[in-house]
Amino acid sequence: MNELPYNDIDTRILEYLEGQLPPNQEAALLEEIRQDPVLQNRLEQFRQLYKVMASSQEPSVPSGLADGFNQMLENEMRESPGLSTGRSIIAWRTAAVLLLLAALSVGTLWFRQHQVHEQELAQIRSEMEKTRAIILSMIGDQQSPSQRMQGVQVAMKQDPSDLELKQVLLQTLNEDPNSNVRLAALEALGKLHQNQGIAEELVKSLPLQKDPVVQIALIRLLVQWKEKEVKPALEEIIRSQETIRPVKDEAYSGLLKLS
Amino acid sequence: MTDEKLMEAVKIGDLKQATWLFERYHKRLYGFLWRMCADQDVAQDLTQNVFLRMIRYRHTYRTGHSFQTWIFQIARNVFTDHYQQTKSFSVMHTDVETVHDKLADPQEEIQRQERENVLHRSLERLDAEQRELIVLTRFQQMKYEEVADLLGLSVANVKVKVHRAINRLRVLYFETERI
Repeated sequence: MNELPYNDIDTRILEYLEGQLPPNQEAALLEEIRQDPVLQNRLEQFRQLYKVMASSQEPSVPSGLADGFNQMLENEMRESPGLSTGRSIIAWRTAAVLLLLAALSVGTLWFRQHQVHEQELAQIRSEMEKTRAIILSMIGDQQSPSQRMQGVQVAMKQDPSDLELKQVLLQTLNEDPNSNVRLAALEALGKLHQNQGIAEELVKSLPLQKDPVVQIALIRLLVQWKEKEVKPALEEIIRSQETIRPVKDEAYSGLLKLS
Repeated sequence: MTDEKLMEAVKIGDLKQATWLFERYHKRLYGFLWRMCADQDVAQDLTQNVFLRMIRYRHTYRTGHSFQTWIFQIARNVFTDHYQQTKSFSVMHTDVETVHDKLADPQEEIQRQERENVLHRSLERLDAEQRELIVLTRFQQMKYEEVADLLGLSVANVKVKVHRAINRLRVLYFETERI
């Protein structure tokens, strides 16, 4: 049977099926359909499709969803002052890393003051490597956005000249599937303004970002840093059909400030 | 208490109220994301992400605005984010275990499953915008006004887009059924 292009009659058939067609138009439509086998077939197809959609069943929600939510809420309440004070594995792990960092700082200071010998220096380096490995493993945990977020936050407290951590944070900003983790990585990188090459890397990152929240945060940071190199990327955002209005507005505003 | 009142409480720091919002919305959001991404594990992760953002960005909720519109806007962003990262749409499997009720007649149930599989395969072949419009209006039962609010479009525009999407789905459904 010939397939007619979509046109006004389809709209009227759908309005009829949805009970939105005025009675006088309904009678006219049904008469039109009665005289045309192609339209009869089309009406029948729409009816069948509506029936299949109406009978389609919703999926069962995995039980792990509620557990994950409760865990996340517990973490968030703990991190918010004045709220719940419970403990979780992630928080303990983070606390352990922070304690380790504090101990290492004291150890490093002690080393500088007392010129300890090579064996002790190697031990401190080994401990620092362990700390870094824990952070990298947290950031690399693909199963848990919360864990990656914690990893990024701990990384912020590390030595800003640590190139490997800087690279991991940049990779997280550009590739992490979770926007919250990317935002945390951006916040960490935002503290490295004086670090050579960091602004250039952030300029390169802008076209890769698709989430409006991250786009806006990144534009604001680069404009605050007065990075004129970002102007072509801002112009591209303004031209793009895919960019939503608030991001375009931020890009316009940024361009004006950088002019 | 209304969704909006609960969200207001969350916004000012009473995070426990988020549990009620989770209870009210997690099934709908999971259903929406499951139909959009066609993968149960990914849908679970994305749903989790929606609620994480709800908490993290609670200060961005604007008083007096519809909570439903706000949370679905977050879900759309989360999905778009995921879609941009993966640029893929996996094959949807209708897992028998995911289906709630079973009909008494096995033959009838098999036919219903077959029709549902055809529907899912046809939905996969739609572009993301048309699939979203159908999921929101036909499976989430949102009114055109609500979808217009969510997408920032006029009601008339939404209606035209939905009708075009349904017509496209009809063509794909009967093409797929013939295969």
